Amino acid sequence: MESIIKWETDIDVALSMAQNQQKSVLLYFFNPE
Amino acid sequence: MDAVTYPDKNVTEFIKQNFIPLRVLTDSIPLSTDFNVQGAPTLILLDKSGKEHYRAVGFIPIEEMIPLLLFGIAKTYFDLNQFDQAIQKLDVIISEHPKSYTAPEATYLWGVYGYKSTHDRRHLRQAYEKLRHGYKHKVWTIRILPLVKSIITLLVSYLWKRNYL
Repeated sequence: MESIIKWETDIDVALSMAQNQQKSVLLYFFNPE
Repeated sequence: MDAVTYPDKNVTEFIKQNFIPLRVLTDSIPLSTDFNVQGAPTLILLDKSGKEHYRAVGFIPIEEMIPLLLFGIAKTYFDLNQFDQAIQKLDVIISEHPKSYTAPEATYLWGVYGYKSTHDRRHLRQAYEKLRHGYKHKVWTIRILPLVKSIITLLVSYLWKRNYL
């Protein structure tokens, strides 16, 4: 089974998920390569 | 890091188990200004209320990513006065990733957090002994290497185009 990171792109969605799942948010600022 | 570090199976699983991953462009407004981000890659750990507890700037190689994230989790726990959980995460770094460049700082904080939570100075002493005998630092050499490589590539390309090579 393929294992990849499913990145969220909206901080409000990510924080809502963090509340629901009792997790921290890993915020990654990147530049396209 | 998208090409090297994140595709690693262990890194992927660790992030999926411990975080809600959020990825945005460095020039995303207002996030980049809200978090005062000056360049990429930048990693920031936020608690569920959105408060920052740890950040790392620069390329993180595969073998350093999990200990670095554990360190960020430990700092988050500490900020939230959850000392036992913080020390537990630092223990994992020290025992399972002793060669990582996070390990020396984890050892230092292990001593500080242990002392703060118990007021037993032996924690500081043990940390001191571990640091004294166990570690040599090379943090920024590892982080800056990809940047140095890219600058050398650009320089060679410049000289080649101008027939200096």
